[in-house]
Amino acid sequence: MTRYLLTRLAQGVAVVLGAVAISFLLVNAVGNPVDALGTGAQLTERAHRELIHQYGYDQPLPARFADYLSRLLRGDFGTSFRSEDSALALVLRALPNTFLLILVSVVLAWLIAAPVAIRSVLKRDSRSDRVVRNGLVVIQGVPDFWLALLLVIVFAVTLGWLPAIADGSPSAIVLPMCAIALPLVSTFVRMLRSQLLEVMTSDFVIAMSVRGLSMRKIVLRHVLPNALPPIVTFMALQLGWLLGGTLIVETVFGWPGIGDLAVTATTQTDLPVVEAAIVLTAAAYVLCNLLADLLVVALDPRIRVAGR
Amino acid sequence: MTEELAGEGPGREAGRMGGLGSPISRAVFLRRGVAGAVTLTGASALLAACGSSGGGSSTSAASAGGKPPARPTGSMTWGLNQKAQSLDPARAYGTETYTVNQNVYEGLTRWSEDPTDLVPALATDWSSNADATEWTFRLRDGVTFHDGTPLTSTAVKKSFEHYRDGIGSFLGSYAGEFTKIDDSDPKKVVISYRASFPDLARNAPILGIISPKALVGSGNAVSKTLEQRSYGAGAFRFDAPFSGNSFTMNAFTGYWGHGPYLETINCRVVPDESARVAALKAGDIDFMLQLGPQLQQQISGDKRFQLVSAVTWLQDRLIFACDRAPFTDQRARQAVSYALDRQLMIDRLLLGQGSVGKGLMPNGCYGYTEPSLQYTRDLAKARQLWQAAGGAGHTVTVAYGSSDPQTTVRQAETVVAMLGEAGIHAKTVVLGSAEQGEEFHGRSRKTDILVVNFGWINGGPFFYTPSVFADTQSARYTGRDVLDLQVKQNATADGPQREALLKQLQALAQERDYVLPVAEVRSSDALDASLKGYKSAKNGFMYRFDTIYRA
Repeated sequence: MTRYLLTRLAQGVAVVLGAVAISFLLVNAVGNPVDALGTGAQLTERAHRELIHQYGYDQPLPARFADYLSRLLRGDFGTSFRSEDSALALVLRALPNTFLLILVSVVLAWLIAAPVAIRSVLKRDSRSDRVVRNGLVVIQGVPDFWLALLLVIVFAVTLGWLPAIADGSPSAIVLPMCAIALPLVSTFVRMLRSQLLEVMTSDFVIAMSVRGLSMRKIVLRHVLPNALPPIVTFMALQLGWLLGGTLIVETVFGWPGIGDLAVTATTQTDLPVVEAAIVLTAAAYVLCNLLADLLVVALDPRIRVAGR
Repeated sequence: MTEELAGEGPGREAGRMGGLGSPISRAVFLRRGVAGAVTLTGASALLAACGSSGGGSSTSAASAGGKPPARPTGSMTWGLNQKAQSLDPARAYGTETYTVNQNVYEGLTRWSEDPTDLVPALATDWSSNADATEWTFRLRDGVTFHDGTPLTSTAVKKSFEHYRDGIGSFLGSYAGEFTKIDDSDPKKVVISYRASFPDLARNAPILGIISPKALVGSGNAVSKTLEQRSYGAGAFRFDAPFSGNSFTMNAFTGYWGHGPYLETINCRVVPDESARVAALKAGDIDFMLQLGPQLQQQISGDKRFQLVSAVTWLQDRLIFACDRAPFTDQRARQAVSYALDRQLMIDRLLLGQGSVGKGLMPNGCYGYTEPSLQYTRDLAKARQLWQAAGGAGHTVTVAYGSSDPQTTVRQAETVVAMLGEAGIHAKTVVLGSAEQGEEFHGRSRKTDILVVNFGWINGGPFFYTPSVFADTQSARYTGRDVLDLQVKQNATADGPQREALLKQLQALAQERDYVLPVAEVRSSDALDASLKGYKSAKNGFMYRFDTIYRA
């Protein structure tokens, strides 16, 4: 187990280093951000030269990358071009907000999806099952930007029940949570339904039904736990999508997460923050995948760790 | 390890998490996991039911009759479209940050709203010598900064030095390359320049004076100090650093001028404009700046809100590339000017929220003269001039920035369409921020026409200063007649001589056609109907909140 853990950690480090290199090359490919600042800031020649030197853009690219890497290893992600805040601090302030939003959204999505999927298995191919499944396909096709604005118009503007923006109140999470969760429900239902149906073909399920156990009990107590390991792996992959996918919802609601930070930093050519956001998001994704792998091992005792 | 992990078959109480902690069965693990998830979501729902519905604003106990209250009362929530990046006024960039600074850091002078004149602020009067190489400002008595420090000439000196030399400062060009600042008299400051700097008084509103206590130590130390709280002398202050997407400005009760009349301004970032309008209608915000023409239709006619407008010093313009064929030939530039129907562009794209740009400076700027040459659409002439300039077969690239607002994007597309009607083949090109910077400052142009929304932030000819941001630079126009006039006007203090030079310069620039002004934009701000006393800022950048109160 320890050897497995170390191997996965080493792989994760390699992935993060790759993200570091790619993000550095990509953001530096767009050119000199000091020039970009100059269009609006009316910099004098002197100020322009000093900013170039201050941010190291008078050095060649390989030297800049070596310097960037050595600073990263010391935990220094640089400072924001705009605010002189540490880029690391800005990202670490934003990431928990995104994680919170993702967590509550995923939980909500599963709370809706699980009963729907289980019912769909129990009432397979019934009329109500078909109606529900077709309805979920429609919901999945709704763009999250449109859904977010629709929720705002209905629940904030028309009914006045909830705030339209992240105003610091606890209820401010409800609408963004729904905007992310609702499109996920369809995906989760299909995934879980498919897993449940697969496990349902196992011999032990047939054996239990022959013994007289109700299908409901079989599904809830025996089929569902065995369907979970692939779901966990799927969720780890979903996390990567969600880390980037909350960007639009965060922008609409002004939710101070990593997506909002990355968009703002990109439009303002605040490159240290962009690089920090990419690297730390990649690191978070790698870590979540690692935890998911460990969780799968914990959930499914049949999995053998290589290298026994 | 294997034996611990091996199960006894599915559905049994087996599969212990050996090696990861105390033994726990898979079923128990699953039950606890589900219970935890349900609790978490239930708690969120419970909090949602109990939580308040938004951060709207309280009403004040303002005096009857809609007059400002005697003391600051009530609050307002301002929805920003992006974060005010920094609390250091030297790093101001973007409308939001300029506006925050305008209310927190007062300059030596400021702009009155209506009419838009330069009026005293921290300085009661000012003057320059004949060639504008020396400026004298007399400071107002009884002014204190937010930290209680009184205003002296040393504060002005240190502030100007911070603007010129501070880490990451964007405003050094506005302070100019001064050689000396004499602060020997605490109530008078004398700023000396090696070369003429005639626009200092008009730049002063953007150069907010900072308490000298905050300007102590290294550049990094000063930056960090200024991010913690405000050290200005403006009507509002902030007492805590930015946090996430919100911050609060509080009334400064020691303000030297009239107001402020609001106790608190809560600032919330809502990047999407549609979402901001929805938040306004939901009552989560009370105020938003520069509402786009299309979305104004949602607000106008609704008695709960008001639109406050001003024709601003924001100018939409096309900058030609005078170093790229066929635009090296003036006839090609004229062909484009004749091909466009600018009034139609304003009517359709800005929904009438603007007027046709006539001069190279907006109307109301110092030295503005309406040029005699005005283009009206003439497709036949456009075709003829284009042919004569050798433009046949050339595809005109009309460029805009990737982060430009939608109106700029649509203007670029409309320009392409109108050129097409004149037989001039064109296409749009999107530029990233750095590419756009290259087009403005690089050695040569890569696109033919740049569509730009330009703000004359200081209402004057400062932007004809060759070293700063002259149109001739971004157009790569090298005609000596215009360049020499730019240098001459920049070396002359305000007065009849300078005004005459500016009149000449505008007329000549119009004849040479390296920039075509399209529109002077009318900017509309949307606010709750109960907020009174607000006037929109003519320069389109620095909005003031010290006159606002709740009726």
